[in-house]
Amino acid sequence: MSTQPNTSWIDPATLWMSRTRQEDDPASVAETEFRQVLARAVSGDSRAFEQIVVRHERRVLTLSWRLLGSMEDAQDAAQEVFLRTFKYLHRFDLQKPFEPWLVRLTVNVCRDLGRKRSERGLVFVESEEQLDRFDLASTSDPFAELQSEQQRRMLYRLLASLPEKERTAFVLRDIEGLSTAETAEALGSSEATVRSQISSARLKMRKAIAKSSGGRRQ
Amino acid sequence: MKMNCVSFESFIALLVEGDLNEADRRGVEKHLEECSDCSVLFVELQESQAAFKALRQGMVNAGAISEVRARVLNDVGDLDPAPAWVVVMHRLLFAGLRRRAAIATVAVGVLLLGGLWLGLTKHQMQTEVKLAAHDEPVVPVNVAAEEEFVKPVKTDKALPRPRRHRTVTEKPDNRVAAQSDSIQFPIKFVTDDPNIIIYWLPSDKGD
Repeated sequence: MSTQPNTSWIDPATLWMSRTRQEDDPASVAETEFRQVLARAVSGDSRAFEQIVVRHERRVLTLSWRLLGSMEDAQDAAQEVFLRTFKYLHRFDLQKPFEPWLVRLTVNVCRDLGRKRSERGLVFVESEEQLDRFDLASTSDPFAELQSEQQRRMLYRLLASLPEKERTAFVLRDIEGLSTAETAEALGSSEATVRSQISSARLKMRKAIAKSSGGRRQ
Repeated sequence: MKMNCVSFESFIALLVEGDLNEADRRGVEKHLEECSDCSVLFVELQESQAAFKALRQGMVNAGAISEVRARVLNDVGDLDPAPAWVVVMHRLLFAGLRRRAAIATVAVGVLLLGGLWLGLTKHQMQTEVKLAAHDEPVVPVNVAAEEEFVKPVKTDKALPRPRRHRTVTEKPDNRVAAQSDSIQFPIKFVTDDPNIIIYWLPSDKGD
């Protein structure tokens, strides 16, 4: 009986990459392993796909929540994102990074869902019950925690007042922490457009915060 | 706030997170040194950005995540993955490009080839017309003028629009002409095609 592992499912490009990468670099080893998982998922391995879901579910759900402002909608969006991932994973180029592709998919799904929601007359919402589904950074000071929680709710309400495109750019760039180029790629627009959107959003948010706290300059 | 400061606002909003290029950054920083109002705006923007960055700490709780996972895996169980031939065909057809990019590339290629073909066909037709025109008699209107409009010659074949040609004429020397009226000078016509030069020797009767 042969003890050789079955590697027929591994993409030749992945094998080549695995040989050329630095074997002692943990990040590149993890990346190579993940590409192998992706290749297995493309060939229909449901266990490999589950690994992809487990690895990215938190990121996708959090981003969806921030873009949509509703946990219920965010869960629907995250579910749709992973179903589309399963359906269209064969279109993904295994030599490119996976996360930007997934972020772009998430943004598109959230846009579609947001559009449907606005057709139904709903807006970017946040309820007390939904906020309870967020884990807060626990501190020993309950007053500080309460203050932090109130501030967080206020910021999300201010965020809700932004136009959809500006909010998406602002969330990706300033809350998710993507670079301007990554944000532009996720939105399918130019860096100049993103800069214009985030500049406008930052000024509006600064003004809204100053107004809500009785600031000096309007 | 000064009028000038309004134009700086969007730049200051970008400066807060380092989204400006080197030249713009220097310009805005110089303005901030001179303008107290804009310095206040810069500080307030920094504070509001810090508040929003704190939102990064909030993460979705485990219950919401596991609910999504269960729903996804349940749905995926009912789906079939893309068949192997679809995967192979997709890679062959789109070569790692995005679908839209691949289609756009093909469309541009088709347009370029079409344009090239049209250009070649037109050039070939023009060459044929010129060759045909070369065989027909050409009647100049005024041979003495240095620059003339060459009128189109009536032929059965379609000729290109009359164009302004530079007609190089060997001007007869008046002194020589006076000495002998019988001397004839050839007339040279230069056509669009540098390879085709038409010489006309008029007879005594002028035909």
